[in-house]
Amino acid sequence: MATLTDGAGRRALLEDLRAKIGRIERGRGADAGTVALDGGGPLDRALPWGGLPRGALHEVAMEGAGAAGIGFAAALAIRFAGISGVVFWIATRLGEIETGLPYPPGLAALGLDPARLLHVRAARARDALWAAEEALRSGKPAATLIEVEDVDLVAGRRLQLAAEAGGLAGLLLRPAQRTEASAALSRWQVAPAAPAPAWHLRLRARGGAEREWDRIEWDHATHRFRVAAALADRSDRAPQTRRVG
Amino acid sequence: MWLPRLPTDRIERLRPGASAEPRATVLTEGHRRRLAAVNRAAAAAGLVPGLGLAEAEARVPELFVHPATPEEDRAALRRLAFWCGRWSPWTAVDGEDGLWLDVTGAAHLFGGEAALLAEIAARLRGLGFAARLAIADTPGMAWAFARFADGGGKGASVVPAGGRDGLFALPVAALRLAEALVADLARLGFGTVGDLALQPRAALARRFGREIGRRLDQALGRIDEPIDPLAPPATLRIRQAFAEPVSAPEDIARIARDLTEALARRLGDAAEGARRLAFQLFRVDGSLAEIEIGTVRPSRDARHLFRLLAEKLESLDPGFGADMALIEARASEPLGPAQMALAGAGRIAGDDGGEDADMAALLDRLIGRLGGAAVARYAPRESHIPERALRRADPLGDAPTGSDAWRLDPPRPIRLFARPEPVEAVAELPDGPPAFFRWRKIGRRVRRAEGPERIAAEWWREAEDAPARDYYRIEDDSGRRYWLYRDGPATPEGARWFLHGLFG
Repeated sequence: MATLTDGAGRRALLEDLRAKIGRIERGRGADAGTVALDGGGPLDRALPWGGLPRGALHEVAMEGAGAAGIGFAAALAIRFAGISGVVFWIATRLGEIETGLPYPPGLAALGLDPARLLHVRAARARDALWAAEEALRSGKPAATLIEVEDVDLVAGRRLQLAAEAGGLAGLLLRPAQRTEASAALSRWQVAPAAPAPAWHLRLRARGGAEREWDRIEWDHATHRFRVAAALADRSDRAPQTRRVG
Repeated sequence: MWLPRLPTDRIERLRPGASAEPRATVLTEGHRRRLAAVNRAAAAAGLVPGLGLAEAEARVPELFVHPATPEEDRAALRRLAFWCGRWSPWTAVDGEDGLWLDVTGAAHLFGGEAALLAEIAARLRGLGFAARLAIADTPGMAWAFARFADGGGKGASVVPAGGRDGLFALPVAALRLAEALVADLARLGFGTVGDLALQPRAALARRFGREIGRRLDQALGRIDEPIDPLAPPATLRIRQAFAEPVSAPEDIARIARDLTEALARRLGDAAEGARRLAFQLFRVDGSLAEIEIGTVRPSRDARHLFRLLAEKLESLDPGFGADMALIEARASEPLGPAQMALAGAGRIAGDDGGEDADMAALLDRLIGRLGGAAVARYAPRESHIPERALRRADPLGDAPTGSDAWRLDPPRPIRLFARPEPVEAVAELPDGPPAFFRWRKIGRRVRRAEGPERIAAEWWREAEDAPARDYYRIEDDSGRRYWLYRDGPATPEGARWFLHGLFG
């Protein structure tokens, strides 16, 4: 181990620390592998992780009362599920009165096979969060969509840890008005972009990277995303560097 | 088992020293108030049930009187019957004051019939109940001896059954005949069961009906008389008794785990898996607390089964303590060793397409806590009505899969409202889509609309005149997409519009 007084040793130590912090910021879940969103195309290349990592909690904010965020989250779930994975959709009864139920025929049209979808409807938010944690920790469902109101930082952190433990993806759906801090690895703001199915996306990753796309399309035949419009200006900037003093 | 003084025993249990004083429960019939039950002290003073209250109080001025509570007495008897499940799963209530216990084949577990009876009598005495027990080959004989042997009503708690000869020596009432019939027989000089048994059957039947013959045959075992058990009989039971009453949660959890592991081993020996499991605590006050769990697939994985039990253990109230715990498999299915491994096709799968024990375990946990209705998987159903186009399917079984099973055209929304929400819409007459609509107090301008898609009511299900719905896929100027329909044809007064779903 180099001593701190030695110049080269200090540089090596700093490099080591930077690498460690980089790993922490990217999230341990990155070790569980990432899933390609558009087959390694421009979308994947623009993401800080080269794809979207499993073993992590991703947050999708729904703008307004529309279902655009839900459609995007469902598409992400399809990517995570691959050919044979199972998708859990966990919601509360009260939430479903507010925003409706997941409707399998529509999801089938998007590419999510209802035979691989399990819909878990809990009476209370507490039970829904418990179910989400159980599902994530079990490592069984390839993707778990979680539609629960009022997920605070502590609950979010628990979900993130459960996702890391199970090595699978959690997708937390949140109303857009809640902008408080979150433990999720990636936070997506979604707005519809006609003609459908397509979305305007804004991503904020843990660690500070921000990206924006005017139009990302979903191909329900190949079950892949497609970048339709050029990336917005923000992504051309290099990822923000953080100084470790 | 006969509990002759159940009502007063119940009262006396709660009041130490109460049995020394004469007590009675009183039933009010119309204007008359009569004694319903009397305790030993009251009986010794000459009071009997049926006596008018005024006269009773005249005879025994220091009598304590309590209102009769037959419903609660019945409930207490039931609870006791369940508690007797510690000796045998086949327990039943007999009338207002008796209990049946079928201990066929189980007496050896308790050291033989005599020891079993002694233990039961001692426990009941300890709980404060006066009881007379008899064990015999048939229910009829046991009933007769418990109630009528040894002069009936006094003396030892355990009555030795004397077999056929003993039965014949008992009074006629020991045959469970109606009171009126017993009175008739007495007048005619039939004193004991033996007197009746010696008569030719045909003559008895002509004179008194077939009941005497039937009861005789039941008591002697010529006709079968099965007992209808209160609790569903279990296939496997393992019990554990404790020297000291247990009430600490950690202890109960440990006991539950030990019993679960023992049960899992027995299930393995029998090559079975449990589908329904119950864990019971027998409390020292003579009552029973139990929890039950179920599984989606038969399982003998002790860890998994205990985890399901652990979820509900908190709701078990040990009261003042439990002196016995019992685990039983209430439903089980064959589960060979090969089935524990992955097998099967077309099911909710892990990565290798096989049936997944871990997934079943996860579903068991979710269903255990949230209830079976909370976890659903959907299969398509042939119906044009959107809310009826799907049905629930078995979470783990085969389900129609792939795009062939679901109609993908015309397009359907990804969210559906169980109750369509009314919207105010402005639309062109007669059949045009809305140009503007207000939903949840926000006005939205329509940029594009597709439709109409007419979905008529299913005439074989609903009233003839249920209106057809015209559905439109609407996009507003912010790009959001909605699924609206008009209920019925547009009229000059305006039609009713509803929002049924949202597109992503």
